Formats: sequence, C-alpha cells, structure tokens
Amino acid sequence: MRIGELLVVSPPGKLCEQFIASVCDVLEQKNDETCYGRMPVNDELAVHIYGVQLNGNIDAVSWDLISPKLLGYILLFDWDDADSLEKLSPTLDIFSAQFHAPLMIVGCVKNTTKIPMSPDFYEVAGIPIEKETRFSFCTATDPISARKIVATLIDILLEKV
Amino acid sequence: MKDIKNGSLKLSSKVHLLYHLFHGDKVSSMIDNLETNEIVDVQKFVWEKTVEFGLVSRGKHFDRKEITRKMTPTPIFQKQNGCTQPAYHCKGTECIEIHEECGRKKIKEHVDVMSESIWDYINKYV
Repeated sequence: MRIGELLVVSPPGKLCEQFIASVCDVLEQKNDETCYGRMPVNDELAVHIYGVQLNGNIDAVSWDLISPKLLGYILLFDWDDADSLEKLSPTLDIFSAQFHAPLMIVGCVKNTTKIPMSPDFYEVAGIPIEKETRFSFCTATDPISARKIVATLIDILLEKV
Repeated sequence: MKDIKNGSLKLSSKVHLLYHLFHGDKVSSMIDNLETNEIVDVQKFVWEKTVEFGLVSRGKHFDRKEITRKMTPTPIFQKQNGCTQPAYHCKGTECIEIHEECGRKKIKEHVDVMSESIWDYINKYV
C-alpha cells in the first residue's frame, strides 16, 4: 500500500484534533500537542494525517525534520478569533519561506452559516494566495467540510503532476 | 529610481488582508505600517482578489471599469495634490519612490475602493 502524509497545524485549542477526527473518522493517537489519523482512500492508497498544535514557541518544533516527506500542509485558525490568526502568523511565514509543498490556509467556523460568503467564491479550488497556496473555510467538526479541504489540497498536488 | 520588486509581501500579511477584506474592513490602515515595496504588493494582491471576486459575482457582465470608475480620476487627484507632472507619471507604483506620501495616498484610496467592491461582490451575490 502507498501512503501519503499530510500535516495539519493549528493554534492552541481543539481545531487540529477536530479536523483530523472529521477527516479520518477516528483519531489513532493523540496527546497534548500532537495527534494522528489515517484516511484510507482505496485498497492501494491511504493518507496519514499528522496534527501539531502550536503551544507557544514555534521553534520548539523541528519543522525541517518533519517536512521532507510531507505532500502538503493544512494550517487552521479560528475565523471568529483574530488572536488565533495572530498566533498562526509566524508559522505561515516559516512555511511559505522554507517549504515547497501545497499549502491550504483555512478559516474555521463553528457552522457554515458563519462563513461570510457563498461557497461559489471558495469551495471549488480555494482562494488563490500564492502559487500552490490557497485559502478556504471549513467547519472542523463536519466531515464533509473538512474532507473538502483535503480534496482541494490533493487537487493542487495533482495539478503539479 | 529604486527598483520596486514584487513578491516581498509576507504570506501572513496576505492572509491578514483576506481576513480584513472578508470582514468588510477597509485595508488602507494596514498600509501605514508597511515598506514601500510591500505596499505595491498589497495593491497588486487586492486588485487580483477584486477581479477574481468580480468574475465569480458578475460573470460575463464583469467590467473592471465598475471598480476603477469609483477611484478619483488622475487629473483631479493630481490637482488635489498640487502635482504638475504629466498624467501618465501618476501611478502609485512609480510615484511612490519619488513622492512617497502622494503615492501612498493614491494606493490607499485605490485599495479602499477595491475593498468596498469585494464586500459588494460578496454581499450582493445571489
């Protein structure tokens, strides 16, 4: 079986864990700062999704060791909390400067009625920010919404092939 | 004249721009804290988003003039700012190096017009 690996990063809170639990049905492993889930795609392919919660010093995470094998990254923040975006900002700049893999930046809302625009603006391919970097919205606790983010990331990967 | 390079705006700044654009905020206030080359990038980035949202919202009826007509016409802007240069010199992306304050003022007005347009596209979309 072939395995693809994705990394999900979020500020402190439940977002990372909720998102991976939604995408993978079940969280295989979790502790205070990390979690892990598996998403079977078919008999020959599975996606392993690792979650890292940013608790303070981002330099405490060895991004350079984690990153080489990863197919792409998903960075989550709470759309209704400006402070959540502030906490994620240094990580955004590190990822943008150092890593060359598709990146989805996602504003998470509690339910879809909180998304400030029609899905037509963001759902098909995300809102382009940079080459291979898109912005979108999702509800981390909703499997359909969370899987659309992973699907968009995989679409970006396929566009590269 | 110093070469103004594109691509200097950090990813976090772009995401902050989207955050404010999608909250209906005017983004010109962000410009005061940015370097000259970053301001030019802000204008480019916000313009691209305005056109993208205009195309989704208005489809084949989208016309960039529906945005630019809300901006102060160049001859009037120059007169208001006591500028005697030829009109074709009055570009925020060029003048910002030689008349920084004036160039910033022009770009700030433009990004606010674009911000309002994006907010309109989002809210009037059916």
